[in-house]
Amino acid sequence: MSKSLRYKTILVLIVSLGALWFLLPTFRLIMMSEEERQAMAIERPEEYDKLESKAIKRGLDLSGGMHLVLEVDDSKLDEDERVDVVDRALEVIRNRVDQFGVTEPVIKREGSKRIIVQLPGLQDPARARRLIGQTAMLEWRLIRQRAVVVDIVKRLDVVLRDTPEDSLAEKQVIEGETSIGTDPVLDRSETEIAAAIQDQPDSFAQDSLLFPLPQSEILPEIPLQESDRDKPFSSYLMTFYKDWLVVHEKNVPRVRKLLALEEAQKAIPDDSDFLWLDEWADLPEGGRGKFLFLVARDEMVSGKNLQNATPASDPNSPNKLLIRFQFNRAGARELSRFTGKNINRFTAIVLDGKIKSYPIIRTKIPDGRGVIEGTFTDTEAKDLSVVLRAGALPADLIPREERTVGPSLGSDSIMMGLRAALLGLALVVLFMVFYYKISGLIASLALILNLLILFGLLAYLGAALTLPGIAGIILTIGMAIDANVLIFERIREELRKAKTIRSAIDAGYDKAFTTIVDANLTTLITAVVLWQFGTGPIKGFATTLSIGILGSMFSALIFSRLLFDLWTKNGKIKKLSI
Amino acid sequence: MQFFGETHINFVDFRNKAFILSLVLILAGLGSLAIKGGPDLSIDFEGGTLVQLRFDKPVPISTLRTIIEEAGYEKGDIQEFGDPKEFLITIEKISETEIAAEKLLEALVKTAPDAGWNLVSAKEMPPDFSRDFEGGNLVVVEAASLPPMDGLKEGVRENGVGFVEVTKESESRVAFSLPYLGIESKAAQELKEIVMAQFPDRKIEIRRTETVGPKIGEELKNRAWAAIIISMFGILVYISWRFEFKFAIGAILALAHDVIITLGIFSLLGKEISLVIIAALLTIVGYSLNDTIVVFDRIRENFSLRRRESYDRMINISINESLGRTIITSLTTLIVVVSLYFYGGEVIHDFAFALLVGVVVGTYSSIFVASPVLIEWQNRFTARSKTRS
Repeated sequence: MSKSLRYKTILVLIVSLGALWFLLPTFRLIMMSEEERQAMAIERPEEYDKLESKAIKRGLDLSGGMHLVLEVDDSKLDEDERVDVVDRALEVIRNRVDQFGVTEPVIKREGSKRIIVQLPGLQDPARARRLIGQTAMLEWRLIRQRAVVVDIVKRLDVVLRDTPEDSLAEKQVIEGETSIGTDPVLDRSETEIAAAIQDQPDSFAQDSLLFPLPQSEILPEIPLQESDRDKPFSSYLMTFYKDWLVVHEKNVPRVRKLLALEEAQKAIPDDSDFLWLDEWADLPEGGRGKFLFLVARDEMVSGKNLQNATPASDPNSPNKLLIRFQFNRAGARELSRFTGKNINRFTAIVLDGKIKSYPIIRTKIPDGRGVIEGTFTDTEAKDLSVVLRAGALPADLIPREERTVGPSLGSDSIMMGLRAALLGLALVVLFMVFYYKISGLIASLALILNLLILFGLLAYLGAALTLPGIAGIILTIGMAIDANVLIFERIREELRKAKTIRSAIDAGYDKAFTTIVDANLTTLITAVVLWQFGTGPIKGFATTLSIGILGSMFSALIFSRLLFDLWTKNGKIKKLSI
Repeated sequence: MQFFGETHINFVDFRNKAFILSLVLILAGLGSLAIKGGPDLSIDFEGGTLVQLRFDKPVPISTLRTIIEEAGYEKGDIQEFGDPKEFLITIEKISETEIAAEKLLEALVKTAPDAGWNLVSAKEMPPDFSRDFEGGNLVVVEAASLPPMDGLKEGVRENGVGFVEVTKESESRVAFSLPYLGIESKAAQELKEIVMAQFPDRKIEIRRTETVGPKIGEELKNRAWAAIIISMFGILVYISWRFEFKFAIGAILALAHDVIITLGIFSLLGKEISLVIIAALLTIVGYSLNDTIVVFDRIRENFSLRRRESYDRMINISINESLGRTIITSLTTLIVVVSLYFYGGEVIHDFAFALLVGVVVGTYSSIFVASPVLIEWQNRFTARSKTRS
C-alpha cells in the first residue's frame, strides 16, 4: 500500500469512527423503549441527562412545544437602567422557567432588545405567557391618612375645573369596564365630605397582628346628584371609608381618566400615588364600588428583598387561597422598621401597581413575613408564587411572535420525514447501482458515509434537528451524489478515449476536482448566507445543507477515491464496472 | 448502462426559441404577480395567526367554512391540510399600529356608514395580564353620532377586523383594543368550541398555532431580501474571480430566471410565500448555480483546449459534454424531491413543490439560459470592443 493510500485510509477511518462515536448516544436513546427511558431517567438521572444532552436534539417543530419572541419595552426606563435591562430580564425569565419545570428550555437574547424563549413539550401557551410576562413587582406601602387625601381631592377639583370634556378620552388607558360618560353621577357637597370624615368604629380582632379588612363593608348611604361643574373630581367620588375613597362602579373609568390627566398628575404630590384595590366591594345601596387609595412612595418596603413565596389556604375562609411571603434579613429589617414606625396605620400590599390587600399594622413585624390576598385558582396561586420567588421583571415585555406545535404533529412530521428520506435514499442507491454498477455502489457507500458525517456533526455541534433540517438532509441525499456523478462521467469519457483504467480514474478525478470545488463552494455561499440571515427553522435547514455540502466533498474526493484506488490498485481488473 | 454517449445536440441554435419560452414563462409569472400586487405572503411576513385543527373523523370543509363565516371570521381562510380530517385556518393579518387604525376605520365606515367616524389616537400597548390583555394596539375613534354599542364588535369583525375588545369612552368616543398575541389560543379555543357545538360527537385536536406580530414580519421580509441580495453578490464576486465577469452575469441571469419563474408559478397557483419557501428559493439558487458552474467549468476547460473552434460551437460542445452529468444529477435530485413531495408530509409539501419546480427550471436554465447568455454577451460587447481596437 502506498503512503498516500495509507494516510487516506487512516483519515477515512478516523472520520467514520468519529462520526459513529458522536452518534452513539443517539443510537442508545433510539434503541431504548419509552419505559426503559423513563426508568433510566428516574434511576440514573445524571447519566440520562448526559446521554440526552449528547444525542441529537429535536427542534420544537418535531418535539412539540412553544416558541416565543419577546421584546423588552425600555421606553419607560432611565438611560442607566437601559444598559443591562435585557440581561436582567433574561435572568428573571430563566429563574421563572427553571421553577416551572420544563426540560431543556432555551432562553436567549436576540439582537439588542429581544428575548427568545423555547419551551419543549409545553402545552398551555396562555399560562406560559403569563408566567414569563408578568412583571411581579411587589411592594408594601403606607396608606396616606384621610386629611392628606382630602387636601389633594380639593386641589384636584381646582386644577380640573377647566378640563374640556374631549381631552378626557385621549389620555385613556385600556380598561375592561364599560364607561358611562356623562350619566348622572354621584355627588356630595363639601359638608358631606366633612361629615364622612368621621372615624368608623374599628371592628378588628385585637389579637391579630395583621388583619385585612373584609372586601365588603356597610357604607353610609349617599344620595346621587347631578354632576357639579365646580367639583369636577370629587363629584365622581362616593364617600370616604376610613382613609380611602369609594368610587361607584359607573364612575370608575371616569375617575381613572381624570387621574391620568397631566394636570391631575401635577397636583398629586411626588411622594404619593393613587392606586386602586384590585377587587370590587358590594355597596349597601346596591351595585359595586372600587376603593381608591393614596399610597406613599417614600414609605415602603420593596419586594426586591423577597426570599420566598408559597401558596397557602386562608385561615379565615378555607376555600380561599393566599400567598405567604418571607423577606430575607435585609428586607425583614426594613419591614421591622417600617411597621414599628407605622403602628395602627393602614398599609397596602401592591402587586404590579394594584392593591391586593390593605392590612392595618397592630404591632411591629420582626420576622419579615406577610400575605397577599386575592381570588386565586390553584394554578394562579402556584404561578404567582413562582414569579414572586424569581423576582420582578425590570420592564414590560411585548410579545412579538409565538408558535406552538402539538406533540402529535411533531411525531407525525418525524415519521413522514423519515419515510421520505429512506425512500429517497433507497431509490437513489438503486438508480446508482443500476446505472454505474459497482461504481454506483461506491457512490452509495460515499453517500451513506456523508449521512453519517452529517448526523455525527449535528450531534457534536448540539444542533437541533428540525423539519426543514430533515428536508435539507433529504436534499443532500440527492445533491451529494452529484460529485460522484461528475467524476464517473469524466472517467467514462476518459475510458472512451481508450485510456487505461488507472489513468482514466486519475484523469477523471483530477478534471472533476475544480468543478466539484467551484460548484460546491458557490452552493455553500448561499447556505452560509441562509444560516446568517435565517431564523429558527431556516437555520436548521442551512446547517444541515452546509454540513451536507462539506461532507459530500469529503466523501467523493477522499472516500470514494480511496475505494477506487483500493479496488484497482493491483491492476488485475480489465474492465471498470462503471 | 448509459443514457447518453457522446451527444451532438445543437442547443445553441435553439437558444432563441428557448429565450421566447423563458420570456413567456417569466411574463406569465410577472403578470400574475402584478395583478395580485406582489406575491401572496404568509403570516411569516405579513403578520397574522394560523391554527391547524385535526378531527377524529372527516368533516366537510364547506360546513366548516360556513361555521367560521357565521362566527364572524370572514377574513379567515380555511383549507384542507393533507386529508379531510385536518384543516389549516389562517385568521386576519395583524397590522402595525397605523395600519391597524386605518383598517379599523375602514371596517367601521362599512359597519355604520352614517356615523361620521374619526380617528382620535392609535398606540401600541404592553400586555396587562391582570386583564388578560397580552399586548397589541389601542385605537380610539370618535363619531358624530355613535351607533349602538351592541353589534359594533360583530360589525367590524364581519368587515375584516376580528378579535377586538370594544370600550365606550364617552358619548362620542369608543376605544378598540386589537391584541397581537394570545389570540391564537383564544381563536383556536373559540373555533374549537363553535365547531364542537356543531359536531358534538367529534374529537378535535389543536395541532399547531402560529402568530407573528407585524414588526417581526416586516423584519423577516427585510432579512429575506438581504439574504437573497447578499448571496447573489457573493456568487457574482466568486464567479468573477474564478471565471470572468460575463460568466457571473450569465449565472445571475439564470438564477433570476429560476427564482422569478418559481415565484410566478406560486403566484399563479395561489400558493403563499413563507419563510420555508424562501429557503427553498435559495436552495434552488444553489442547485441551479451548481448546474451552471459545471457547464461553465467545461467551457473554461474547452476554451484553453480548443482555441480554433468558434465561440458558439465551443459552448455547444461543452453543454453536450456535460449533458450526461446534468441529466443524471437532476434525476437523482428529482427522485428525492418527489419522495419528499409525496411522503414528506403536508407541512413540507409546498417546500418540496418549490424544489420540484426549481430543479426542473434550474436544469433547463443552465443549458438554455446561462451558457447562451455568454454567446450573446460575446457577440454584443466583447466582439464590438475588439473591432473598435
